[in-house]
Amino acid sequence: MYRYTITKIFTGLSLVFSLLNADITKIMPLGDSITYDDLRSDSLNFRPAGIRTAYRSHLWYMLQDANFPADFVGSQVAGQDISPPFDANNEGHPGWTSYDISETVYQFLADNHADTILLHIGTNDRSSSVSGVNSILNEIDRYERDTGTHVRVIIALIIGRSSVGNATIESFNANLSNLVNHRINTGDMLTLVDMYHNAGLTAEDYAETTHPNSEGYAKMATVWFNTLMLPYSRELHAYPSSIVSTEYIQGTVVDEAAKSVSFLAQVPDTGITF
Amino acid sequence: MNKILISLIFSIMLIGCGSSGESSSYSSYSGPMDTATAYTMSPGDSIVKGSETTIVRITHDEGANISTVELVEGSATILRQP
Repeated sequence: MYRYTITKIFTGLSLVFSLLNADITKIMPLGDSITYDDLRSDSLNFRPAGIRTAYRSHLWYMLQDANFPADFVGSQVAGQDISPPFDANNEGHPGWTSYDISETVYQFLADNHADTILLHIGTNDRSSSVSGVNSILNEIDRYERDTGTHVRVIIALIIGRSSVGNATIESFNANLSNLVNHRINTGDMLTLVDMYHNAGLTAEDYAETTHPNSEGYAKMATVWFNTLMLPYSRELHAYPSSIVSTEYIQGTVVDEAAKSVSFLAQVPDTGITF
Repeated sequence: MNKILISLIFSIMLIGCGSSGESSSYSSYSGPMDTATAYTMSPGDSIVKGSETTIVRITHDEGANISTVELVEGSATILRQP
């Protein structure tokens, strides 16, 4: 009996240690009110931060069910009072544009390093230009160079608005798709998700013109979750830029099934050292 | 008899040298690169360009210590880590 109890204790301890040593993915939900959960009506009927969750709680529960070890990171805390509890850290900033995020994302990462960023930004830009998003990605690259780390950015074609025309958003998304595909081609660690189409939001999924309700956010969470579940070799995606600057890289192709990466590189004046 | 044996051994040695695998010879080769030839690069090895525009194709497998490089355009030289 005594021996059996000791065995159980050791088994329990080893389980705890194995969980502590598991690879936990630090995920930063980054964006505006659609990440934080802020409605226009909150200016009149203020909801406490503790019950604001957006897609984040839904995604957290999905990751837990899939035994995906995650740690949401960020300076903001919202949704901490709901049940079941979830990791309420995030970098959702209501009202912010992509330009606002570009000015702060370096410090966000310096304060809370992330392995993966979930980026949904551009709704407040009200423009088809993606230069602000390009600046965000440049700042993330600068952080990676300065710290010698690699950050995967899962970037979304943003959701539309309900009951209004979406011509500007559709134009923004088309430009964003071109930008991201160009940067992937040059070895940037980006994954593009089409939240605009694949979330499948209908008018019933919106709490108001711009912001989804809980059902809509659950649909967004499913798109993030499905992307996070796909095979992704951080080593292969990080390899090209680890030996030559992205400005010299083109035609990057990662074959997740074959576990191989191939790319063209223009040899810089300083050469390439493996 | 001895002459025959010596000739036979010498011939076997020559054949052995000629049939050395491509991958092993290119993994230690230093010098100018040829197009359409895959060279194995180990950590510390490098490529320097010999023309204004030089483009190479690099392939790397997950978990591998080595990479493969091919010259696509221009000219380049492989330098091996001493």
